[in-house]
Amino acid sequence: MRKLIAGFAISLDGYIEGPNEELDWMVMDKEMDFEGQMKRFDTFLMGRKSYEKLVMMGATSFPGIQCIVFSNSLSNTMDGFTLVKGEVVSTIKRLKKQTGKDIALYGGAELLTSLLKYGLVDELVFPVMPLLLGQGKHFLGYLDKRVKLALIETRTFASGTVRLSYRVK
Amino acid sequence: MRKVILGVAVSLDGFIEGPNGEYDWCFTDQDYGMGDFFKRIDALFIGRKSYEVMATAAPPPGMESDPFAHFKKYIFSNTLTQIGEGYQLISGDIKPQVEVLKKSPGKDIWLFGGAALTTFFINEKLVDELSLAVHPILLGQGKPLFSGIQGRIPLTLIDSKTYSTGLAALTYKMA
Repeated sequence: MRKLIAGFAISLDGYIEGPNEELDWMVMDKEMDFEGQMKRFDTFLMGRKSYEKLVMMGATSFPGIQCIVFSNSLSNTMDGFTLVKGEVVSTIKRLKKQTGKDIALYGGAELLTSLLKYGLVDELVFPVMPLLLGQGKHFLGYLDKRVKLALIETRTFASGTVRLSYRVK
Repeated sequence: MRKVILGVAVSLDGFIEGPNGEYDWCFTDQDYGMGDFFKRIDALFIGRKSYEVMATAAPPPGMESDPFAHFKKYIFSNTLTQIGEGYQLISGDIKPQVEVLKKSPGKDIWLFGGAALTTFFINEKLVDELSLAVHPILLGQGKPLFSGIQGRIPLTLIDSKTYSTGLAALTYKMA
C-alpha cells in the first residue's frame, strides 16, 4: 500500500510560518536533495490555504504529480489540481489503496492534525531549522490522543538543520 | 565564564508536560547523557512554582533521595519570603544577579525551569545552551516549552545524538 508522508520545515519551536506568514527563515541546504526526496511521490495533498499560497506565488501544476486540494469553500481549482469537497478520509483511504508512488502531505497544519486523528499518516519528516520564531503557526493543532512515533532517521546539514524522520506507530 | 544550560525533555510537538502535568512519556530506561551533564554542572536555577513542587514532592520513584542534593539550588521568586534549607532565594532585579553568578567561579548551571523562568531567561538572553531531549511522541496538548518568546532567536547546532529508543538529543548554542 502507498504511504502517506507529511513533511514540513519547522523552527525548533514548531512553527511552519512566522506571525505574518513569513517563510524567509527557511534555509534549504543543497545536500537536502529536495528534488531527490520528491521522487518517491506522485501525489500531493494540500488544504485550501496551502493551495491559495501556491496560486499567489504564481505556481503552476507540478509535472507528473497529481495534486489534490481539500476545500469546502473553493468552487474550482486551476489546471493540474483536483478539488475534493468533504470526503477527506474516504478519498485518502482510496488513494492509499491505489497503485503508485507515495503520497505527500504538502501542507498544512489543520489537514495534518485531522489526518493524524484518523490514523492516515504513515511517516513524518521534519527538517528542523536552527532558530526560535517565538510566534506563528504551529505545525500541529489539538489532538485528543497521543500519537506514538518511531524514529527512522536523523540527518544534520551544514546550516544546522536537523531532519527528523518518524514512522507513526 | 559559567554557562547557563536549558536542558529539558520535550515531545516532538514541543510540550514538556501533558494536559494534566503528565510526564510518564519521558524515557527513564537509560541515562541519555544525564550522567555526563551532571558532571559539568554544580548549580540549578529553579522558578518558584517548580520549587514548590520539588519541596513538597517525594523523591522520584527509584530514587532514594534528592538527586540534586550535591548542587547549589537558586530559587527565583518575588513572593517567597523564606525558603527551605539548602536553597538560596533570588528576588528583585534578576538579570544582574545572574550575571554575577555566571562570572563567579564554578561549573555550568542548569536552568531547570519552569515555564515562566525559562521564558524570562530566553528573552533576557541569559541562556547559553539549549539541550533538548526530543521524545518520539506527539502529545497534541499540554504545557509548551516555548511561550512568550519575543522575536526570532537564531541558534547554532552544536551536537545531535540519537538513541535506539528514538530519542533525539539536540544541543544548540544560543547566539
